[in-house]
Amino acid sequence: MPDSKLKTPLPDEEILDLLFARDENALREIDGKYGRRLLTLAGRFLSDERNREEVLSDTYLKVWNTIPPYRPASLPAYLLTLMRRGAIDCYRKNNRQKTLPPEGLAPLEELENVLADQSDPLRILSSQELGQRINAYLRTVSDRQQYIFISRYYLSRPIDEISRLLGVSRSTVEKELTALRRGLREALRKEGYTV
Amino acid sequence: MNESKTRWMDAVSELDASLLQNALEYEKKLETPAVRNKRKFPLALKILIPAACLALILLFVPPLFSKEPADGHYPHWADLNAAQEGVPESRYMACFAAGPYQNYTCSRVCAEEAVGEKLGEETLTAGWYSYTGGVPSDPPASPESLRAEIFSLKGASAQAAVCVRFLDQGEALTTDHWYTYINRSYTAGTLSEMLADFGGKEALSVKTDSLLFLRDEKGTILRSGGKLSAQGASALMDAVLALRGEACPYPAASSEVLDRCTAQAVLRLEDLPYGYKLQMTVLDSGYVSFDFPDSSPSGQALTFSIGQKEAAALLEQLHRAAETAGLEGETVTGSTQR
Repeated sequence: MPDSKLKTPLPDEEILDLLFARDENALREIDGKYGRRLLTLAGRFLSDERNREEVLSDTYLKVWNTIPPYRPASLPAYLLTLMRRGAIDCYRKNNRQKTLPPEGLAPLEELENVLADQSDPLRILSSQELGQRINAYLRTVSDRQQYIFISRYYLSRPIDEISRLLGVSRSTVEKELTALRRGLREALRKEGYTV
Repeated sequence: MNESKTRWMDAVSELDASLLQNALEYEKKLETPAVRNKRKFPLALKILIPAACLALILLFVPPLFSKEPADGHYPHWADLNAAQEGVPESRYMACFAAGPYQNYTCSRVCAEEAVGEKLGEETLTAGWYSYTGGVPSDPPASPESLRAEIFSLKGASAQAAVCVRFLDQGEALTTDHWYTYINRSYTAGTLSEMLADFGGKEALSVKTDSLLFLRDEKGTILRSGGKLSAQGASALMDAVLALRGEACPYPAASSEVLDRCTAQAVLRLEDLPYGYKLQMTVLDSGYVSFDFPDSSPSGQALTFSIGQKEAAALLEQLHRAAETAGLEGETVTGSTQR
């Protein structure tokens, strides 16, 4: 009998097919393939292990309830989006006036500096509008830069981890992040938002 | 956490799914052996490059990591609840912009064998809809127009639900599947009419795991860790189909009926081929109410008065079925008061 520990994870398309067939094994496959990665992401927003586990369960429930009809183009991207949103909601619910763990807070502090002047006209932009402008800016940069920006500011990865994944030094990543933040500031300025 | 950080956190949350997907694909490429080997630097370079970069940073990079905003003031997150309520959720879906199915929303996929006759063709608007409190609030920023064929569901009324097959491929909807759409404005005069409109025994059944909640005399319990027998489940469906009751208009039901009732049991009526399920709540004052947990946004609950005697008989049957199946219960603290 084959050892279950050596089982190769199913391709995402097959996991989606299982979900469409309402087969609960899909969730086991997702947990085996992506569970650890999702918990790591939650750990950047939530320090309590029970909260992380709870958000993970909620994420699986949302996957079960939304697929089908929704068939995401990328299963991991969808999972990470749900998990991040769930972790932030849980953080907000449980941590009034407290701060994020350092791993989640540091990237936000870096981004705040894009808006050097808090009274600038950019403040009139809603989070959604600002988000759309970030999306537009990211479409103008290289794949590698997109990866670095998203790793740091969406997935809240530590700089050391990004540098390890890219096989470059920490300072290289920091330099690229600085350039990206400057680029974003410049892009916003060109749109008429003086920063 | 101050307002500015909150805003950035929410703004970054708006990241487009395709950008995240690109980033994950880029990471996959980084993990391939060819790229990994390419990243292996000689030891000397491993030491020299960081050292050189550090020197450069120390010399040229301005201090970019100040923790204080320009006004030096970090307001507390005073308006936390308001901010939370205002955070919209995005969901990809296709909606009828106008026409006879304007109030129909997508539930799940349905099987080909459940598809009935063609009713016509419509154009739907697909995209990422903003959601606040379960209701789409804004149209998608980049809408797609998708042509679709509309079909009835065998044995079900088109007033209750229809089936949609897209002729154009959407970002996350295929042209290979049939999607069930439920009328969220559906109303019926009687319980029998509603069950018939949703296909009756052909389309609805009680499964062995359909009993979601049952209260006993000791308090609130959630049945878990077991299943009803097939015979018990079938008998329950017959009992539900035999119920008779008049509809209570929703606003009146909400204020005058549901608020004073306690939910005693929650039972799911479903059939996978039809792509929808009805969740039936049995209330102690002689009412049953139905909602559609998979249709998003969920429709208003439909409530029917079946009489206290019939409600008690149904509850007794549910308890017997649960007991026969040896279902264990667990005490839950949350209120189930409607």
